[in-house]
Amino acid sequence: MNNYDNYDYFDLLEQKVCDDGAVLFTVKLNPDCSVYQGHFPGNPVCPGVCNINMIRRCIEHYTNKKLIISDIKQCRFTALITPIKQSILNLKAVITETESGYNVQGSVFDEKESFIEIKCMMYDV
Amino acid sequence: MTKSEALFVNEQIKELIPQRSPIMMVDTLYSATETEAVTGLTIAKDNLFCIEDKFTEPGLIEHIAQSASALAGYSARLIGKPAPVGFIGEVKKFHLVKFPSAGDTLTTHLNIISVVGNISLLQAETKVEDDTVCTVGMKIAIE
Repeated sequence: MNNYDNYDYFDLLEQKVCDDGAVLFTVKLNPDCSVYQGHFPGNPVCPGVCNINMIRRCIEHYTNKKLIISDIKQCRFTALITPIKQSILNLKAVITETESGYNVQGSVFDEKESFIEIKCMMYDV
Repeated sequence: MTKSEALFVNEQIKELIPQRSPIMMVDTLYSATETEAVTGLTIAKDNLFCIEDKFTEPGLIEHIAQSASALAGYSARLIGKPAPVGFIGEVKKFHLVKFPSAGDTLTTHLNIISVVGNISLLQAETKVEDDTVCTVGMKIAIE
């Protein structure tokens, strides 16, 4: 996918619009990503901020726009994600267009549990 | 405050936080009390979170989370304990004012608002010189 990051964090496997209008993304985390050399040595745990960034990249892919996260109203991390235990993740996002960009309300989960709930605003560059 | 007056700088920060390259996002602990800390980061051009010489949102939030981690590590050290591992539990009311650039030095003022069990609630503001770049509230879980 079109990814500007300096680290190869994930691959977007699938993107589809659900019946309720939300967009469901399926991603595969890359356990060989360089971030795990430092987070943490010998104990790979996904940095929360990389997951926030992954959400942004998915929304960019869907909207086909380059987006800045101007505000995060709330982002709750309810369980740790590791690239080995949770290699495949879903992001379901309700994306609402605003005057300057998008309101995004999303959750990250797999078949077993929920990991992240986010409400944020992104605007076009 | 200058780096020469700081409590911990550069490599010494490794004594306070468990993160390592390429995701070490604090390079200075200027001052610390039980409930406040002032930290810094000079943004290298090859910083993991720099895109086209701008230091992006994930980098800013990680810098603030690691600032809290550095304060926790400093407090632990005072009582002879190793640096704990902290995780972001919640990001609240993050507001981005502007992206810092490669070469800029961030200064972050961090206040611990409350501590419940192993969860710290904090408020932070990051500046480049006198200009605010972002503000955020955060809950950090310290293991």
